[in-house]
Amino acid sequence: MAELTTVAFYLVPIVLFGPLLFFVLWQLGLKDVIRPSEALKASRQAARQAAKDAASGEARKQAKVHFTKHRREEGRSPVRLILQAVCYVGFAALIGYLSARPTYTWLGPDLAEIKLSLSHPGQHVAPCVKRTREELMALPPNMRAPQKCSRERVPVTLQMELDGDLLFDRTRKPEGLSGDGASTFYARLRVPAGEHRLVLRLRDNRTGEGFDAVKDVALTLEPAQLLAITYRTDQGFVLR
Amino acid sequence: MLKVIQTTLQGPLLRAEGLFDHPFGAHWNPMRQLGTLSFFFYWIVAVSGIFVYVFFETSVTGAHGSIEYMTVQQWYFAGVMRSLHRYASDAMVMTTVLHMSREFITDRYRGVRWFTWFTGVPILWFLYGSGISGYWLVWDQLAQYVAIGSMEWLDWLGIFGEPIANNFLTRGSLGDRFFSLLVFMHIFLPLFLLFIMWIHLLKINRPRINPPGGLALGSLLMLIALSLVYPATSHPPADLGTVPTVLGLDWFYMILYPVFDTWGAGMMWAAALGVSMFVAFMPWLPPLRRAKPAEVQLDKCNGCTRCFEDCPFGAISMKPRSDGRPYTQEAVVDPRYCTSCGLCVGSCPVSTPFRKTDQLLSGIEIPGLTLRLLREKVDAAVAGLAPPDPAGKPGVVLFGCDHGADIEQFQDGSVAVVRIPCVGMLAPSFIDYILSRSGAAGVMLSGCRDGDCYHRLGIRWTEDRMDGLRDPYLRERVPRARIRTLWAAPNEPGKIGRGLATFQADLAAAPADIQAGEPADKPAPAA
Repeated sequence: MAELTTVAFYLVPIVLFGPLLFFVLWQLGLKDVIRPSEALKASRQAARQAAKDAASGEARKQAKVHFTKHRREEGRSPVRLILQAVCYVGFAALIGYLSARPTYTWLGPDLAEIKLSLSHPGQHVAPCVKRTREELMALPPNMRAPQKCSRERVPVTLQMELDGDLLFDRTRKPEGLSGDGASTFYARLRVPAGEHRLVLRLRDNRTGEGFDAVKDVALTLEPAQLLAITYRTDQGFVLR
Repeated sequence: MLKVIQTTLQGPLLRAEGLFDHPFGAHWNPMRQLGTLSFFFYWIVAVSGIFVYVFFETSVTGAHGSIEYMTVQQWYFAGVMRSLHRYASDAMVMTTVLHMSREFITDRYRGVRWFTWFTGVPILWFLYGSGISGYWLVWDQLAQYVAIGSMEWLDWLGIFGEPIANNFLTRGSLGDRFFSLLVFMHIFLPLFLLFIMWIHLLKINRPRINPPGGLALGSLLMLIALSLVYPATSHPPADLGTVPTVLGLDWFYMILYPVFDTWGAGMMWAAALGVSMFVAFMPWLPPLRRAKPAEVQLDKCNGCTRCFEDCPFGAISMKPRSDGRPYTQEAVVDPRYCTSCGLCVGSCPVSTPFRKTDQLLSGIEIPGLTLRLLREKVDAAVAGLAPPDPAGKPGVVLFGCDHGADIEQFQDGSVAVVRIPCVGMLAPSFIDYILSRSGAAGVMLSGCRDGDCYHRLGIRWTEDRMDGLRDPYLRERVPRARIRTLWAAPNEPGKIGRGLATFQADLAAAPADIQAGEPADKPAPAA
């Protein structure tokens, strides 16, 4: 079932939008590239011939130019060239200035940043049950797992407290169509630089009470310092 | 609502554009070459990018150093190329956005132009994607800021198992492999951009993709000078253990990042997609206008291909003859792309008013203004002219188009006014007809502003036809001194008035034979 869902996940856009994209490209001219009609070939031949005739310049040489003369005389007088230079300088100044100015302050002075980024699966919604001998025998040999577990996992709650203030408190559902993936957290928090007491709490149990991992740490953040916080099942909270 | 915005902005735009006419002239005016300039800047970016890539080290640890080497040690060439790469990209954003705004303000995005407009929206996305991915590669503090912001924006979609922003989480998080992916993105996004730019032009006949030589040269010199005077530089190297504080953003590409910092990813997605969708579907918003398309009159069409060549939107194709007449081809109109501008009528060699009324039919006709109706319109206008008076102003027939300056205000006893959809609809034989058959002393052709024909090619084909550069030609016998062209924007009726007065004064001062015109069967002296 999971494989089918995954395959469908990739196939649906291809099946839905693939023909549409192909149709659009076909209408746009792919058909003319792949299989030009006789009429189109004739049109192209006519266009090529016309371009050839025009390029020969016979008509141009013989013409007494009155109404098209101004096209060739444009922008060449010294005064115009000087004025053009002024315009170019203005354009260049605008490009040069806006390519790097005015400056933008992303992080103010005396601030640091804490980045929370973790991906952690909660416990299964129901506890695993040991299969009886009869149940195991009823299964095909390749599927005789000793325990029967539900796929769905519980949401995970993450809290971050800094100097007694609760700055982050979120509960995330597990990812995946069946709710069997990890719960993912990502957040950037700006805090004053200096000494702090940081408390991190994580709940991943199915009872929804208490916290399964807690870290209480005193730390000093330098201005513009980035503190990344992750979580590993074997190590708990990791501060880098 | 859109109409109100258009009308409000049109005046200032036309005035601003007019300012550039003085130094550049109509055909070099950069405001009328925004699309071609965008192409030109793309090529500069491509060439300079290939050069920079040769010296670029595609690794996290080496990228910044290699660019610094180009900027500092090789400032006189590689540094200039790097600066060119950046500044041409910025210039391209500017010309592209201006181009799109201008097409909207001048109402050139609806009807048959929907395709070009619609495909312009993904161009903006690819353009921004190309530019932003380029900034990542410098791998300085600015790259760090932009990369993390971009990844967080993408992560909001929730389509990645792990946040891709985690690749930038701590020192050592970013590997050379992921960095190589960024390099590939910066190569393939511009290629896709070029592909979309090609699609963008598919439904335009004779698209202009190169600016006039002088303008191209000036723009290139401008960018080189800027690169030498104010070379592009990098921020300090990226450090994922610290947070960049003060950044010199490239506002052409990064204007949305501070907004992202304020609004958050969800709002940014909503705004970006909402605005894009709205802009993309603007051509179908009311008021919808659709003129009846041109109709081919097969019994008059000999398949000469002139209408096919002259149609500005490629609405006409040549197909094998279907009526058994001894010609190989016939013109066929695709109504989806026909604007009813009438340029095809002007190009048809059969479109001559020198025929009996019952034979007055062109090979291709505009339903609202057939050749017969056009001649009747001209005859009626000429009939309104006062009889020639040596002491009065010479009579002039003034032609104007639907998108140029208002010409009705000039109608009086000495000026007969005829309005047509596009000046290119007027076959040269009509000028001959007026000057040889009526008492008018002159014909004045006005239309949109020079270099800015609403139907793209009307002015160009008109001038070419009169100078014998393009079929159908204006006959040699027609004295050119009795014809004048004056191209003016809708906000320049005064220019028409002044031109008209000058023309009438010139005609009054002209020798008697030119003023009165020669008989139709005798060649006129050279003007």
